Amino acid sequence: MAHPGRDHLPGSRRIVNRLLPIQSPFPIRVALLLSLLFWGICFLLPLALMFLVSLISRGPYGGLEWTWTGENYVRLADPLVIGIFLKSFLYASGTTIVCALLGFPLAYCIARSSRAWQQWLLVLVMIPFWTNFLVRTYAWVLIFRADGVINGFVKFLGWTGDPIPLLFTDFSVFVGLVYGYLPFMVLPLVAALERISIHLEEAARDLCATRFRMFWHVVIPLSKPGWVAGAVLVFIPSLGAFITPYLLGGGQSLMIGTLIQQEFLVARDWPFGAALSFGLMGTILVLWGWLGRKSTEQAAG
Amino acid sequence: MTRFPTMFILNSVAVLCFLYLPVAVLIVLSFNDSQMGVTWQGFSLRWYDKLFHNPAFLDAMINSLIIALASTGMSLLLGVGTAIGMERLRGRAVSFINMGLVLPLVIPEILLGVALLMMFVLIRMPLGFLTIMLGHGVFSLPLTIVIIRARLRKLDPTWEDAARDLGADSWRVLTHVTLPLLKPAIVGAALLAFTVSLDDFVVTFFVAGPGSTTLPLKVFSMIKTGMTPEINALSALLVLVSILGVGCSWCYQQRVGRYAEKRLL
Amino acid sequence: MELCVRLDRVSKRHGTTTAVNQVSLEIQRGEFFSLLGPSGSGKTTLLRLIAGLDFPDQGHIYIQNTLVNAQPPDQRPVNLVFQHYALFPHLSVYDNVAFGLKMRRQSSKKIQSAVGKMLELVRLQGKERRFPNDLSGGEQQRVALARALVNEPVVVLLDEPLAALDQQLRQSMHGELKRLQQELHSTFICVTHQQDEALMLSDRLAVMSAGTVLQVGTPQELYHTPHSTTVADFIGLSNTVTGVIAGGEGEICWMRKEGLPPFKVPRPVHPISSERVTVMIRPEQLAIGCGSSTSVSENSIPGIVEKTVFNGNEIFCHVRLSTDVLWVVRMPSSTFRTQLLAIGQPVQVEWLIQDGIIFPVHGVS
Repeated sequence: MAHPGRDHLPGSRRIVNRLLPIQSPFPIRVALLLSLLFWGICFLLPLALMFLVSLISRGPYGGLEWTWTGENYVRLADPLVIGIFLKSFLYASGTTIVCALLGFPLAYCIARSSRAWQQWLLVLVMIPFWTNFLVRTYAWVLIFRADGVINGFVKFLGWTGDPIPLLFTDFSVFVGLVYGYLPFMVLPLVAALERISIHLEEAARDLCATRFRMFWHVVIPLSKPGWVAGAVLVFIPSLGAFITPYLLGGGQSLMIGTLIQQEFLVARDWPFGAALSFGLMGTILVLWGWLGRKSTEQAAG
Repeated sequence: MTRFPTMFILNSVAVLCFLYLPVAVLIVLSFNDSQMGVTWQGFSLRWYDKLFHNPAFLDAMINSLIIALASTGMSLLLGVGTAIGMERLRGRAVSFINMGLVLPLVIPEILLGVALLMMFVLIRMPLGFLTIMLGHGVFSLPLTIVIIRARLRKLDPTWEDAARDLGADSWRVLTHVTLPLLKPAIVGAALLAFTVSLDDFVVTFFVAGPGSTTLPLKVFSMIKTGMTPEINALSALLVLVSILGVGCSWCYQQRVGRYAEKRLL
Repeated sequence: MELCVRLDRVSKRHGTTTAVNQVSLEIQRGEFFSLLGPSGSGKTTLLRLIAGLDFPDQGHIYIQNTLVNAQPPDQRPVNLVFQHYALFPHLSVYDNVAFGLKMRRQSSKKIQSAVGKMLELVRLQGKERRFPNDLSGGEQQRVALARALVNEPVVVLLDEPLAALDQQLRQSMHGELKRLQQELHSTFICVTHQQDEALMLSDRLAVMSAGTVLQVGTPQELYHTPHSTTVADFIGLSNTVTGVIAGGEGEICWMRKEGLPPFKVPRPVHPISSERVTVMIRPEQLAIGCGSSTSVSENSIPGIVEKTVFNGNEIFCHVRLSTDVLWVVRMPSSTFRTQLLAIGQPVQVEWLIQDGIIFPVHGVS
């Protein structure tokens, strides 16, 4: 493509043209460049700084002392820390599995209902999805606490003993996580299921498959992109969850997210907090690579 | 016609109830006259009244709106151009950029929050509106780009060819064809970016400074300092906002649907 | 005649495949010129090169004697009618047609009158405010035509203009296209893979295969004197047999082929290096006879009817002449003939010697 007189452009334009020699209007190239710049400064740079901080020592009174050490990463091997990591892992896996089990029938009904129904059902799923996460989690506090909805109901039924302890238990954290991330499983599943032609199901039934075998051998394998996307979208945020364990777990139920927050804001041990963050990020990147880059792109789209 | 297994229908109804139970509890309790607990003591609007006379709440709401508007504006300004520009890139650059694009959306928010906090402190940038806005940009910009690229990929490239053939230079191809065809995606991205910014708690929690309390931060501090039914009223309002948001985007999609989804043949 | 478009050894590669290879063409002003070829033969790429949507790797493109190799599409005096029309879905019919004029910054008054006239010409008056998605296929087609024609381009390029229409609509659009071209005295270059369309519409056409032009000529020339079997096969049905030329007097030679009685073929116009040749005869030039009244200007070879295919107005009779020669005879349908051509029936296949077309056979086989 000939660009007559490219070298006679004003300086700034010439630089932009050179950096991004693509055939697009000038503002497009500027936007591309600024986005890259923004991404570098507000995403890459903080992560790089965090990596640096994770390699130095903590100073007295919570400051930073710029002496290099690997000690923060050694501290990750503390059984207490490993325990918290394992527990978070368990929570996240459990959340993913329960979300998949609860989400699939709903996703299937949405994907296979008539156009009008589908619109309404999608809106129904979208509303909690768009509602403030904090507010949604707080609602469970109202339900679970000692004078909350469940205990109130039990009392109404005639229970006279002490209120059932529900809030600040593993159970409440788990319910909160499932509740928080369920729409993230349903929506990709709907998208994947919609792409499966109804004729494939009919063909399977025609070939003498029972309904169960039809799901098992046809629908579930074909909706794999949805499963993978949903799993990524549920597992990763629940692994790093912070609001849910903080509000519903209290002090009893620490997860990685709450631990990181404590190190940064309460204990003011930034280097260790940074090392913890990198531990979490490493875990996630390994998992992400394992699940395949492709499915994640689908998930994001 | 029994297209769905009964189990599926029962399960779906149960899941929907599960999704709406907390929302319903919030809304009902926000009208409860009771000071504490869940016992129904009569209908009352006094918590709403109290809320609207709380200057801290009004401040937080204005802060939230300013930040959401600013970060959405920035995301659109950069995101639309970037998404269009990326379509022209070829080869390895694309997969690299894709990775970088998805990464901020995939890693847990708390990592973004602490990393940004640390950077702002290390470069001695005062925490406040600007830091929150930049923090929200880290996820709303990629979100915008992803949504607009998804739409761009569905657009028939021959539309642009046709415009060029009819005498449009690259700038007017953009303003007369590409941008109008992208409008539904741009509106959708703007709504999403706005809502995400309005709702964000985790990143805001770390990079907010004194005087820049947003609505979610206000809710959080109210929960921490002692639960009054005022929070219920505020939460119910936020639910209402999200219902309105979904409703608006749904109506808009219905309206533009006539040419948004159908591809000409 | 005035030269309108000239291509001089133009080549274009897409990655490792050569889409267009050393193509040279000259298209006159006012001509309806078709590029005919199977899909993937490079004809659409050629069109895009002329439109300026792609740029050639080699060679030169001239439009009205101006070299346009590096000219972007918005500066070329050509307009393209896209295969699937590429109508802008966000613009009304009026705005679609007005698009090109707006881009040229014409006055709104001029645009209004030009668009009005054009919509009248393509018989779309009253549909200005409609959107492309609300139109039928034929109407969309006409909007696409109007959108290109309203700019008064030097050349109108059409990419499979009728491919998306059903059979009946296509028939009526044939007439419409020809009418528009003649009324506007403009040059049309049309890409198609439908040979009947190309033959009916074109003043001249080029047959393309694998990125090269095999032959250029009028429909008559291409049908009756193809230069190669590929061209012959692509335009119409053809019967061929390969054999050896041996002797003969004057304009006529004898051809021998194992399993067939010797028959007469016209002497090749150009001296042929090899003795092996292929002779090609069109199915409608063959006739079924009884073998009794053969004149000196006719060939007659015995065969056996293998099957007959009836399509309403014609019968295609497949006659086996030898173990490896099966010819098709095409004739108007009639009940009488159908009854006569029972399977297994011995018949005589007859044709005029001058209808045989000779191609040299290259290589050993």
